[in-house]
Amino acid sequence: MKRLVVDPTACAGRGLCAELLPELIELDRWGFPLLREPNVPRELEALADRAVAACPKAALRLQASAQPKLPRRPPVS
Amino acid sequence: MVALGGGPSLLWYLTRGTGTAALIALGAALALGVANLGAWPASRLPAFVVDELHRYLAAVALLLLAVHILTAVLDPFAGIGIAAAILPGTTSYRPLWLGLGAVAFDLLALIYLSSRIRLLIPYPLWKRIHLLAWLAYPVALLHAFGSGSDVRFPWFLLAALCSLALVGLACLQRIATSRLSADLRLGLIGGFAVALLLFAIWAVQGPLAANWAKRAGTPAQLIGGGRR
Amino acid sequence: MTTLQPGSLPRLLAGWGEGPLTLGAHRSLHGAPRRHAPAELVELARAASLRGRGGGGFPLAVKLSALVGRRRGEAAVLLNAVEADPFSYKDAALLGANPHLVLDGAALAARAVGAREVVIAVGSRHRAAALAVGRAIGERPEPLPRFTVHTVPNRYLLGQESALIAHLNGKRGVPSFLAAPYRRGLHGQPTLVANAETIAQLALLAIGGSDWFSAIGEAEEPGSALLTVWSEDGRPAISEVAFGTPLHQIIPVKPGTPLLVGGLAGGWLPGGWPGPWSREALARAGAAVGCGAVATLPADRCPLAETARILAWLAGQGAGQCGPCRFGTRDLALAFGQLCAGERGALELVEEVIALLPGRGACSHPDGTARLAASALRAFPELVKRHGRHGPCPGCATPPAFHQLSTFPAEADGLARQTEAPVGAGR
Repeated sequence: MKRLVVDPTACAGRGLCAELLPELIELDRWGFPLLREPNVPRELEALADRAVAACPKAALRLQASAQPKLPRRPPVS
Repeated sequence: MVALGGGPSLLWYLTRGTGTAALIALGAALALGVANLGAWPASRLPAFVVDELHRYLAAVALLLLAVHILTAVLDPFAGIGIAAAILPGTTSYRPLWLGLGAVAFDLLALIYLSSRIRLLIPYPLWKRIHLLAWLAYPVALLHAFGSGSDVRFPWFLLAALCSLALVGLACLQRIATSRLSADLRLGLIGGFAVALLLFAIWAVQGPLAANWAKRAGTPAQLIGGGRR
Repeated sequence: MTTLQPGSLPRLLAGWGEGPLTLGAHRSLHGAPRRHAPAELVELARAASLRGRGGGGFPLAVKLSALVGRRRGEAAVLLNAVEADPFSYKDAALLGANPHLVLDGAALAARAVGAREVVIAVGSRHRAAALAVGRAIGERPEPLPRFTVHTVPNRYLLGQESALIAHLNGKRGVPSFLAAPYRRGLHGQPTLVANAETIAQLALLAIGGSDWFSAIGEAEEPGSALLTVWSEDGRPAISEVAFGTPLHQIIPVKPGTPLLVGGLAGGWLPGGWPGPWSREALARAGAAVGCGAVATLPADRCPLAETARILAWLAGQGAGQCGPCRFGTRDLALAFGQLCAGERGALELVEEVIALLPGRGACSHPDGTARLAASALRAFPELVKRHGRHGPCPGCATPPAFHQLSTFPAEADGLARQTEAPVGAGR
């Protein structure tokens, strides 16, 4: 199953993703995406692709779930 | 002008028509691209609609452009080879003005291709290539006025005006609603106005004047022989 | 084999005298680690559950194996001694006490991952530490690995791995979301980034062996940890404790005194908290081991007001890249101030923002900030209610309790040693 990932450093909170994929993405009080569920069910994959293409900052990406999760960044040392 | 043979060829009509249509489509795509920058009221139209319209119209413009180039090449009247589509200065027919068309097409093709692989290239690179649209449009406009033989017809002038109006209005709205300082905003609008004025002056004493065909570099044997 | 007894403390700070241990003194005390095959070193770290001492607590074995397993190319090792948390001085103290232990560990790691270069990044406020490690480097006879010391500016965010690497690579020192240091780090090479103390612990582990290392501490996490302990008079002391040591043995305080543990991204513990210095116990209490700082709140101060001040400071320390963090930390600081002032709806707003922060940024800055705020609500529920009903308390009007935020104490020189910390919970 594919997984949605938002690059928070690129995201500008424009919200096109939430418009196209409200089933999985909602916007927080500042307009930034909250991924309720990162895994994309098969029937929503086409919409997810469209949302990824629509993001003006190329911040939304679809990853194959087989990719190892990046190690959680430790806080400041 | 003396008509030769059986009247104007279909290819020639297509070239002029698609060229003009492409100018309008390009203007609309540019305008929507500006609108994409975010000042669009969300209640009126969802942001993704503006975005997808922009991409759709840009693709339409490129399609029209492809037909425009193909028909111009296939038409034996002006002797334009296929290389002229991408290489400026390779035609004997109005080399400068046609060359500008090639430059505009090159830029637009680059923008389109880079957008197809947008997720594979770094975002800043994609952005910089995309901004070349601001160069492609005026170049296309100069090409349209400089090399088109319909310049003095009202329908063409109307089409060009529509295209300019779309771009102008979009830019005006964006500048007005941006958070730039009042001075900068005034400066930008003033700059646009000056550019428009200079263009109008050039158009009036250039393409819209009587002997433009000769001045633009139309080969002698085609002048006075009129169009088929 | 080290001359230190397995169950004794201190270990890292053993032999700390007038100045840093010379190479000769270090070798007399600890000997030298033998050569380890890369897989052996990884297994050693894994069996000892050696976790990062910089704040993240990430298992070192995982970091090592990510690099040991790679196919080709030159790797690099980066020791993070930036120590940008204003409450932390333990890395500076370690470098000033036994830099050779750190260098031994770095050499071990470098050999395991195939790196020929080790960069040691030190925060600019730890000048003495930078000098000490520089001199120690001069004493090393081996040509490889090549050690370099880089001093980096005093900015909170530069303690973060990817921000530090970006800064050292000459770019803007802000965290990166997509870059993984073990793939592309220093100069674009796969890089092992580790806290200086963690690497020193690795050296101890290699020198003393697994049994020796695990003779103190807990079953889940053996060994010791360095703490920066701030007493009520605002002066820091460096203490080496075994995991599992009861907190009240680490810092004797009057009953009812709240403690801020783990640094700014850690959390509050209510007065009289009976638990041990242990990753799991602290996390369950809503705090964190973090960078190993323990700070006392003076008697007449209000922990909620101090939290509001810290939150405001933290909000200003962000890179500003990630929307939820940029706006969230700002709104959290504002809302917490309103909470202290007794404004209606402030508590609900604080709780809402706290829920919106974790995992929303490219680094753990929003997570740590949220954790601090949540720990205050959890540790002082009565105070929160009282502020909600009556507004600011007398403690809110006092000057800031934690001077560390505005002026970093100048040097790690004047640090007292608390090396008599008792042996922690045995095994």
